[in-house]
Amino acid sequence: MRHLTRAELLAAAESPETVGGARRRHVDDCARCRVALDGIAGALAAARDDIAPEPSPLFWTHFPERVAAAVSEAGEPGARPWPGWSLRRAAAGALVLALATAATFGWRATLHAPLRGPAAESKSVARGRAGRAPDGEPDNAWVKLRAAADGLKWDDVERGDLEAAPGSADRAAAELSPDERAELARLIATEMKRSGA
Amino acid sequence: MAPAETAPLPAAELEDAELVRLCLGGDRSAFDQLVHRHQRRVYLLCYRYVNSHEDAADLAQDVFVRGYRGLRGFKGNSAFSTWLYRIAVNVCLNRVGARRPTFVPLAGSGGRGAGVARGDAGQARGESGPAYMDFTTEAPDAGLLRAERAAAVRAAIARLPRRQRATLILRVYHELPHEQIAAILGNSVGSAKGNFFHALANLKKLLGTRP
Repeated sequence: MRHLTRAELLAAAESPETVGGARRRHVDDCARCRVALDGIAGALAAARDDIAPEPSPLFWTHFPERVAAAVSEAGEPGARPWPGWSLRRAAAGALVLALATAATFGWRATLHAPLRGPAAESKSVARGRAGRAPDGEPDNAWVKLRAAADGLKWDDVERGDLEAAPGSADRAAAELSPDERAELARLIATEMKRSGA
Repeated sequence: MAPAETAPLPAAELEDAELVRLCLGGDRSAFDQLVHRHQRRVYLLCYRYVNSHEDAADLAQDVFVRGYRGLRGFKGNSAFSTWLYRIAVNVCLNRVGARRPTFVPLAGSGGRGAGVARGDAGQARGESGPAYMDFTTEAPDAGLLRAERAAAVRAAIARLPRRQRATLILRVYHELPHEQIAAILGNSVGSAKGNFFHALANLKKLLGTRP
């Protein structure tokens, strides 16, 4: 019989009464599903058991006054808090642009430098442009990777547990919103076109 | 005969979107009403990230100030609470990304007792929202044990990936539907459910491996 899906396990852990009779009987008979459900339900119960302490009732009368004082310094809604932020952002943007330009030129110079001595042994460094090694031979690994990833949707990746390691650049990309992701893809495509990659 | 003039509704009876409109029109008291209405949810969300009353109060204030500054950005496409939650999650993630979370003993530990009630007093005040602790009698040992378990759960939740952590907090402690969580975090409902499943699975692993 079919095992419980993640959605069914989640529903069973959150509200067992919503699980139909057949699925409930399956859980009773299937050790694998029972262990999975016990694990999810146990974690949920542990989390639910942790109740945050309520602050003093006086806090709720004091807090709005505190916010009102802070808001009165903020000016009108939508007003810029401090023009210095714009200058800081512009300066930071210029710095990032300068570093990106320097890094790109440095990378291209490295990429086009003739291979010498021990470096010549590592052909894989220059491998990968258009899926071909420098000697013209197709890079099968790259071709296979591209074929496997072609058409893969973000939600499929998430559902398939293909998560990046914590702290990696992939992890940072995984945190982006759809708009930010689209913008990142556009910037990468532009940069690759510009550098001839 | 001229139609009878209708008296304006008291601020407490107005919808959030109407209060936003009044605030943008220069009525500062309308924003006070929004703060009054949402302060508890925002504070308790912040508390879940920093586990300290002082820090949670600072963060909650920051959330409302940012909300006020960005009020023109609220277009009414979602509920005001969803919009505010989104700001709160971003403020919390920025703060906890900048420093490690702190853990303080539960107020109910250390012999004072920590009986649990979910939401009764808040509902009595006409508020809805997350669960909180109520003080009743409980054996000191039980209070300590509960505090120890709570500290372990909080430490484990703090180690979850950002989206899983946010999803778990919004689902378990704020009891939001998956649809609203998806709107707050800017992903699909399927992803929200997936994140919640993974959060619970990882929480189980982390709690199972603690010394």
